Amino acid sequence: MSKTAPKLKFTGKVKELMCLDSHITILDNKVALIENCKQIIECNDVLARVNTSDFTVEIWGNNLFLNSFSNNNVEVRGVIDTISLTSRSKKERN
Amino acid sequence: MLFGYVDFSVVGDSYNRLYKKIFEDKLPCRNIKENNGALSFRTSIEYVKDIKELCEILNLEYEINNKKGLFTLFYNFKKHIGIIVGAFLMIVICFVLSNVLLRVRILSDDSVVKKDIIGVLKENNAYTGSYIPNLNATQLERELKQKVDGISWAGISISGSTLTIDVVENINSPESNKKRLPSNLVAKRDAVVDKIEVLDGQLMTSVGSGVTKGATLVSGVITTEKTRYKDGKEVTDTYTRYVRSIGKIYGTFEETVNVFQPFDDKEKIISDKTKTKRYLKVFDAELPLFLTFPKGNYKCRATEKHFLLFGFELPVSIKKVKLNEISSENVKLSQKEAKSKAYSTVAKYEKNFYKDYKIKDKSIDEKIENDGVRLTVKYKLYGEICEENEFFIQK
Repeated sequence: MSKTAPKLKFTGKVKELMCLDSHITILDNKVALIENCKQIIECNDVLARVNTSDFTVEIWGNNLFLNSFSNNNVEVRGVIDTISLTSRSKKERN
Repeated sequence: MLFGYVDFSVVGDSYNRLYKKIFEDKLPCRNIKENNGALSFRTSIEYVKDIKELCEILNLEYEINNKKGLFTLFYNFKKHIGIIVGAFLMIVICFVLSNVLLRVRILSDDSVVKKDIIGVLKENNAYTGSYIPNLNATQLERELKQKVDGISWAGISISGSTLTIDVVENINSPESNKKRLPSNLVAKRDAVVDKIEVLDGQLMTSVGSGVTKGATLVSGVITTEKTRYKDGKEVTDTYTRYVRSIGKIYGTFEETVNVFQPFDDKEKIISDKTKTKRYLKVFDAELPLFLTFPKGNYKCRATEKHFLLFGFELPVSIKKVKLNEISSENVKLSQKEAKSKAYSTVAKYEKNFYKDYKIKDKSIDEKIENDGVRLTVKYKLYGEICEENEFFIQK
């Protein structure tokens, strides 16, 4: 059985070309840098939740804290256990 | 967060709107964390005002826990005005010491050369107190080489607030007479010849003979005659040679000098009243500690007192200038005073004009007149009586 990459719609392709997709960079289990972030939802010791254009990123761990920079980037630092992405519905996005 | 940062602690029901606003307004925050129902974060000092406004708009209670950094440090120093003034003075001193010329060193022993160099430097605006970045060392070197006599090379270096000028002085070539025109030695006054020293030229006088002013004593035209016989006849050939007359003719001559000293005279009076002016001297720069300097003629005496630090002399001193006014006053001299003054004038005259001559005899005729004392001094002098007189040869 062969697996193929999911087909992108026109808007998806434009987003990709214009670098409007969210980029998530993970450094070991210490840092997660989320670029093109839309909003911070919450951040406490064990859970940090942020919204990107298409997903809600949930980061679980210990001693977590956020650094927010002026250019729509959010850095989550601490001891990261899991990172999960949940697709946001169109309604939620708006 | 270069200038400092502030730790905020915000308390409220929900922080979603605050997060949203922080994100929308692009306010940089660090260490964002919800803990025990409070949201804590750190932000740069320049965004504190925005955060406070945001909290007030969103009805959130906030507390500032910690303030640190350069700005906070300066803010804390506000109470210690002495430290601020000291720091400001330090900055000013550092600026002055690195940008203002305070010392000019001239590496030469010749006082005339030094004076000339200082004159040229002043013309080019290079003196103590000048702004160092405005000085053009290359141009100054060129000016010094062109304008100062007695130096063959000049090098300028600026280290700190000191301008050092190194010069190579001219090595004078040995004296030599380059005159090539023929000349006579003529008498410069009426005299009796006593001694003759001729190295070149035709002597026209003899010891013991009297000469008048302008008479040729040694001629530069030497004529020789040679007699020969040609076809049984005597033929005389005349040869003329032109030379530069070299020699010294000494003689005795008389001169009369009249000195008149009036009884009404002007005398220089130095006032007892002393005016003192002070300067703060930093290296060679003199900063006046007064507003006006008196005009007129003054006798000036300067003293300098250096500040000491643990026994070491600092380059900072107080220069004290004491001034005594000089004024002239009309005085009536007594006969004795006038005579004494007249005699001192005669002595000065001898010192100035007869230093190269030997005074063989001197007779003074004193005459008291209505308005002063007149001295008629007759000298019998011995010395050189000739001078060189060049002449041209007609072709």
